[in-house]
Amino acid sequence: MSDAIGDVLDEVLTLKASAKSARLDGDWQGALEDLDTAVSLIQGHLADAAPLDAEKLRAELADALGSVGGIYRRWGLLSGGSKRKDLLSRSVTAYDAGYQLEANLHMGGAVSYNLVNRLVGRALLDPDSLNPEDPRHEELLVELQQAERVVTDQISGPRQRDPWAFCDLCTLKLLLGDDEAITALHALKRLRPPSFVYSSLLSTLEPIASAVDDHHLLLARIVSEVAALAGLTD
Amino acid sequence: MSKWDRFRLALVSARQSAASGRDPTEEVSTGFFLTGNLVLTARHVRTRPGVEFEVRVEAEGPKGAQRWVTADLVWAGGSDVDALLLRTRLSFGEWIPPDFATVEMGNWETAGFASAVADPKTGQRKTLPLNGSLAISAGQGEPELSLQTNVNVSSNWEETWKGLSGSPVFDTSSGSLLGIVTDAHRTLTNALIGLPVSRLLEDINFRSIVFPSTLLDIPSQAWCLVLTSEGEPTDLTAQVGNVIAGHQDQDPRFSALLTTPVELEARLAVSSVENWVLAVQALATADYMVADVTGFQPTVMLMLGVRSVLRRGVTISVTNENLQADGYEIPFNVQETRVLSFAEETFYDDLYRAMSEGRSYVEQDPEYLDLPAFHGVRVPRPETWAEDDQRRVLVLCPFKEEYQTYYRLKLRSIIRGHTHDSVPVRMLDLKSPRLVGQALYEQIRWSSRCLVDWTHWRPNVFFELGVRLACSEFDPLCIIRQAEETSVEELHYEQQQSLRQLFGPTEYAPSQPYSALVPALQSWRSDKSGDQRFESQGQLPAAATFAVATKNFDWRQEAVLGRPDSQLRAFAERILGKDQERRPEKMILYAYNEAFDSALHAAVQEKWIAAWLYLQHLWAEGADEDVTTELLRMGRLVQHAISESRDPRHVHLRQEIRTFLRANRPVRSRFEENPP
Repeated sequence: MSDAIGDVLDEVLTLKASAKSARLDGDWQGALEDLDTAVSLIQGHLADAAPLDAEKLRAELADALGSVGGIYRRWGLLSGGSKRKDLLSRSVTAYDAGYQLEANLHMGGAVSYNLVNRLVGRALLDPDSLNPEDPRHEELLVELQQAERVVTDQISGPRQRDPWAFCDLCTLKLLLGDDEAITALHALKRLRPPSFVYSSLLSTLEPIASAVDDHHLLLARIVSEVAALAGLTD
Repeated sequence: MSKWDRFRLALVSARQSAASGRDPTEEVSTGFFLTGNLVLTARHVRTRPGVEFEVRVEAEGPKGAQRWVTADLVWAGGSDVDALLLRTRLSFGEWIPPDFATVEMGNWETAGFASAVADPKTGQRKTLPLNGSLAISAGQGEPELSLQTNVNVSSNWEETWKGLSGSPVFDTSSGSLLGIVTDAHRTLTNALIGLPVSRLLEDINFRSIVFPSTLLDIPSQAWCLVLTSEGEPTDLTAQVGNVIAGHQDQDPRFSALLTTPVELEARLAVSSVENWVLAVQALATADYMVADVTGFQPTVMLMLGVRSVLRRGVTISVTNENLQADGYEIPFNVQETRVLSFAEETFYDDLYRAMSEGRSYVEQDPEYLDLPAFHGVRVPRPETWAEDDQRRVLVLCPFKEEYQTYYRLKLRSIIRGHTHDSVPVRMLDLKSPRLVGQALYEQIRWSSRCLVDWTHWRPNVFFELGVRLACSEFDPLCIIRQAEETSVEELHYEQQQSLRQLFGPTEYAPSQPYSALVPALQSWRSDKSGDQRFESQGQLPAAATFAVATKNFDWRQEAVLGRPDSQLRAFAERILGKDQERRPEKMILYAYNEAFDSALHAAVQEKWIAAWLYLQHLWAEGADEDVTTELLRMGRLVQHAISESRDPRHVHLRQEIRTFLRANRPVRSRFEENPP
């Protein structure tokens, strides 16, 4: 890696840290400012970067865009009315943009952050699409199944010890109504990830649980277990 | 070689600042152009630090315009070597160095800018020709030239001679340079004292400046050295060049690298003192080194040993032999290194990967090694050293059964008997609890007396010899057993003869080892500081390799020099990774132990805090832009690292950092003007 790109990536790393701190403080605008600066910084260096550096920058850009999607989603879920819809829509747009980059990364950079969250975002924006009776359900189902295959492949490859991969698999299986979601959660537990991983998974599953049928027992059970693992309940 | 040429004389002026006009403390001496831009003069002209030099050249003769030119100090003699070398910023011709010679007595001549011939009104000086007889003055201390002049000197003799220091002393019969004038005799008015050239030639750095090797040019940008072995020519250098060229557009590590690797033939590296000096410089400075270890030739192993002390990497051993073949053996010292075969079709990819990953490790892991010895020779001296060292001699030798029998029955007692009953210690005899390799390198570094037996030309022994030469100011005593009959196992390379000439091992007859070994062992003597030194019979001056290594070692790569905040951050990132949220896998062994994991997190937080505090300290000293930028970055990272802590100390620091970040926020993003 060239020194200049190393410097850019370091600056991006610190901006992402700053955004997370702001997010924890509920400072949504501050968090988005940091991420916006990071995105601009990466985009400004992409064109002139050597191929290997460009790959690293694209991976960082995908991650930063995913973080933008995450901020909008958390902010949207705390908002109401048209603002909620607007923010959730922005969230999906950011995840989609991140996915375009993420999908073209080499296997060494295998991630599913945007892949999964763009689908979660669609479900939150339009919870009816999770209902099998809904005409849009089929389209979502196909995308969820494709995503599950991608994540499963990644887990059998370079992501066998990546807690996020099992979070994503668990999420996808829940959205697909697959009881094997609990197996994915058990696999995640075996990796003994830091508590923030469970907190993050919880922040994804809880809104889904709120949006779907109250009788989705597996989802409710998993939400409860993840909350306990995150240290939020006994 | 050139002879005495008065037009190569130079008037040397040393003053506080050459640009500031007349300096009352100005010192003047006489110099002599050894080459077109190298001036030899006396060191005592530079009595104060920060002195700048100007040289007036006589080259155009008495009728030519006086020419003053700025000169830079390139070498200064040690404490009792009153000489220095200046390099003028202009070159005055294709002059070649004179022949350097040593005579016991004879006649001499010189000329110099003595104050005796200075114009009392203008201070301008002409040269004062001098001649006379000379002899070597021995006795206590180092030898000196005792120079008798044929001139009658006034009573004010001390002033008369001023300015003459540095004048070259030439032998009138041979025209060889014998030394330089350094002082006037304290009691004899017409006698001068000189420094013999032998004292100059003992300094390897002096030699390498005056007689530089043309073996290769050391590039100024990042470069790759290819060390080729003796024998059938191969296309190894071209293959390495292909790998570099093929990745320069792809891999930023390669884009800064000189496209063409620099080849160094092992055979030539030891063919002269000057080449050896340049080879050691190359080993010290090459960012990458690809060494052909085919047949584990002695010079290649010797150079790998030197390299292993000088640089942590990247060094890649390659061979054209089949690594899978039965009986393929790698010498003990390099057994843990990965050897690539350049006879295999995967070599292109294998070499790229080794170079790329090696560089990455060197940058990120201060413990990374691709050769042994680097850390082993840097461990502190053992506590028992003072007691052990004076009672023993480290012996680096082959481990063939036949040799070991000979060693036990003959050599051991000879060594013991003629080193005041010192105990010879081989690698097998080391009692340190350290790993064998580590203990060996520790001893190679710290043992004052080391004996290296070249018998059988074993690769291990030459690797260890290289380590010793590079890490100790005390040369080892090298010995070698004469072959009584032609052995099929004996190597036959040109480099073997060169190695003999360079290092001068003492040859001993197997049946009569005493006659050669006893005097050699007895020549181990204490120098002025009480250290044990061995008088080498080789061409290489004493401790030459160590001196070149010391001068050329790239100390900037030493991890200990890193700034505290960088080191603390690196520690923290090694434990939890650069971006733990993105990659939350536990990388530390046993981190699944919850108590340990919790302690790790706490330790990481404290390291981040310490890094922040150090940068704050720098910032308080004077807030330059770079430190502010670094502090902003560090602030964000520290704030995040302690973001979920409820420790009041952390909560307070978080607030402090937030205040700092707000006060020093560098840019406003477009988001602020256009919120959603």
